[in-house]
Amino acid sequence: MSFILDSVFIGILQASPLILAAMGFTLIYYLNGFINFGYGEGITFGAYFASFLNLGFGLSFYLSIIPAAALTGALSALTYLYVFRPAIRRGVKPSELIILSVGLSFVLRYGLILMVGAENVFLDEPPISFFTFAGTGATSLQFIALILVFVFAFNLYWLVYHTDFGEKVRGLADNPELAQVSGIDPHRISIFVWFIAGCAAGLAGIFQGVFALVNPLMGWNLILITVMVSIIGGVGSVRGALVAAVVAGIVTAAITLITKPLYAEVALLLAFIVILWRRGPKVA
Amino acid sequence: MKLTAENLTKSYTGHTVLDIPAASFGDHGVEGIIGPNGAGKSTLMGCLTRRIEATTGVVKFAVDGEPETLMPLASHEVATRGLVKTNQRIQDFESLTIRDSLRMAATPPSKQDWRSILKLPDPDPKLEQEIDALITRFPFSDPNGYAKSGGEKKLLDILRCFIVRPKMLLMDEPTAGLPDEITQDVMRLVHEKVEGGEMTVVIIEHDLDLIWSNCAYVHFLSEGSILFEGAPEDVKKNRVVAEKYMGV
Amino acid sequence: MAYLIFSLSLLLVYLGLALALHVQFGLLGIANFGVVGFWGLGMYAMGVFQVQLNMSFFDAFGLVAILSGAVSYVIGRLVLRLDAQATLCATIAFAAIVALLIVTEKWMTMGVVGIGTIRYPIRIGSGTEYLYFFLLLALVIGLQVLVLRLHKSPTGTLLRAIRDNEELCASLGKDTLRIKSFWFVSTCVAMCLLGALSAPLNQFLTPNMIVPSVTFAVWIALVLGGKEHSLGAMIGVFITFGLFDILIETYAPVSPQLAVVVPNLKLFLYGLLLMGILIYRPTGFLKPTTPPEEVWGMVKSTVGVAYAQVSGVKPKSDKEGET
Repeated sequence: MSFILDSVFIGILQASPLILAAMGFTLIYYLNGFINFGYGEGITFGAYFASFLNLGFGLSFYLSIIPAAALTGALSALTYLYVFRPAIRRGVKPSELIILSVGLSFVLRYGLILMVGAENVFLDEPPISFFTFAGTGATSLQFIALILVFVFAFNLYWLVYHTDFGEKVRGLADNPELAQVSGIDPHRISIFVWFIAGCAAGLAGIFQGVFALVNPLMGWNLILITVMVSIIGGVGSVRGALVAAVVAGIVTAAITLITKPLYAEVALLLAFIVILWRRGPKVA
Repeated sequence: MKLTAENLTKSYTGHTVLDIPAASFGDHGVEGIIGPNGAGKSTLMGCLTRRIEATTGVVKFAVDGEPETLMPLASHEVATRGLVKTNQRIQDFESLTIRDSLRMAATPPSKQDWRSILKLPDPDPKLEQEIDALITRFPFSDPNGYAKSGGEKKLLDILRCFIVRPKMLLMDEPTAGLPDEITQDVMRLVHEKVEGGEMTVVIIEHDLDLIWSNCAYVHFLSEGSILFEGAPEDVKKNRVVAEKYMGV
Repeated sequence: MAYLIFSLSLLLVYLGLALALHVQFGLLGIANFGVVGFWGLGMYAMGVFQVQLNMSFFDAFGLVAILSGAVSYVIGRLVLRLDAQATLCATIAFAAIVALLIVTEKWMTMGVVGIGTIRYPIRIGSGTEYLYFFLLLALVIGLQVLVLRLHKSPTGTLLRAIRDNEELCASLGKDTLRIKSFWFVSTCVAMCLLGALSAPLNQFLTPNMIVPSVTFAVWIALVLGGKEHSLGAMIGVFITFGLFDILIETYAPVSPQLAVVVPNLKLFLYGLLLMGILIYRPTGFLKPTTPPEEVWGMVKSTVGVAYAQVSGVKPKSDKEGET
């Protein structure tokens, strides 16, 4: 019994970066219908923006969270404006947009390495207190991350499902022509969605960075599982992405408790391939 | 050639779009299927050729001897049995020239596997002749290049089906998008093939003049069921058809 | 000189991979983003069979062929019904699984320590590397000839038809799934065997060789050269691997501090190049309709123009082949 409790507890605590990343990724995937591998670099850049503010300007970790996330959001919106939108307008197909996004991801990652080097960076953590809860330990940082994740997730959920804006986004994703005829400006909505999604990626990166460390490959390492979680959660379902991320976190924690963490990754990847296969032709 | 369906139904999320207790095609040379929009005509053809999975029912196809059930077959296997369908919407191989497209369709699998790389198979003179005949008979703007307009693509789609020599050809709105004189010539080709005993043909059309002047037997489909069938004169006179379709 | 032979041999391996990918993606439209998985599987299998089981090169090679056939068949069954996006994700996941298992299964692969030394099939003293290079050269020329013939054969037309419109192709009686499966499996086995052949080149294998940038390098080469053209893979590999890895890394006079930056700069430029091509010239350097006979003339004139620009004007901007 305590094994299950431990798995759930650790899983949810550690899954917060994944939850954020998956929800943001899902938004873009839903709106534009292609898998954006460049999104992974949003995770990396979020962590680096935080490290510049935190280590470079001596801002406290908590104060650097919001500006770093906003900067990542801006970067994401810029990639839409100057890379993806021109490509979509030129009629590049979704399968080629993915390859384009892989290209962008290489440009951003190795551009970053060229500028700041590939060494690991450690964020200046705020003082941490430990607690125990039902026999399992957690840090104050993990709790704060979790709370922020819930706040963000709730807001995003509310934005997508209960506001005028969300309705426009869904209209645009489901039927672009109809949406445009009914007076929705696809351009502004898209920019805003890419901004929000970028913020989510940035936050994911910041927490991933403070839980472990910051390096240029962290986004690439997280993007695959983000894509998986988003597809398994159901195309365009922010709700589904949330649930799938939590489940993935718990499964990872459970497998990690029994054996090596890398086996958890292998198991998730295998499950992903099998789920894609079971769903058949019309998935992504 | 005889294509039969028994208890054929198709439902989407509980909504039944097709419900045919019994139907039979292929006894009359050229047959027509008419009916209002949304009657289930294309769904019927999809189910018959196994491109759409029927909810219930059995489709059987007999070329000469015993009828064979098509239900366990994949759509390409249905085609190899001799049952082929033209497409209502424009379908094309964008990177293939008109000639390549026809040649690809008619070349048997034994000449399209890895051995053909080691030793290029000799061109089949009969096939080349047939392709030449089709391309010169119908006016393509660039016969040795690609099908350009939607009309040319539609025509090529029909010709591709002819060249695979089906035993029964189903045509889903062949006139849509085709100029009148080309439609006439396609219909002449249909009659040549049917009278030569090569195939039987079933046509879905909204152009009723075409149906009356070409079909020996007409099935009237409405709301997923065949409500009436018979010779064109009988169908024209039928009250149900008149009420439900011809707006009288 | 030894390093140059090593680089050239590696270039041939990349060319082989790009040719196999050309058949998969360029002709059949299967977006295999797990190239490094197949290549790495073959390479590590060769290493494990030779070192742990003490097999001869040829026995190990035969076993790699059988093993890779089985793995490719299973992967094919799993991905070939999917659309391009899902195929891409599933194959990336496959490559990630291969890379992870190489790290975790220490009893077999020695994990992060690495495994070696892997022997060449034939050893003739100091000339071994040269002999091996010529063996690879013959093999890759053979592959290129097969691809050229595939384009001319009815099979090539059929594969393009499947890529363009699989459903239409099936409706004409073609068993598209079986055809895709055959070509996917045989080209994946080719990738694995190229991996097995790379094992002696590297001699000592470590998990950090199994990285996504291998897949990426092959993709960029193919997309740059012209994914649908029979010679696109070759042109692309010469431009990327030949120009960056061999000419610049081996011969350009770079200071030691800068030399550390070059590999990262290379991947940065690859990314930029790939983006530029997808947006501005999606067919790549060679259009699908360019007859192969004309390619040599195009290359000569392009090189001529580039040379004239470089020697005439001060080279300011990056090379951009076209006029």
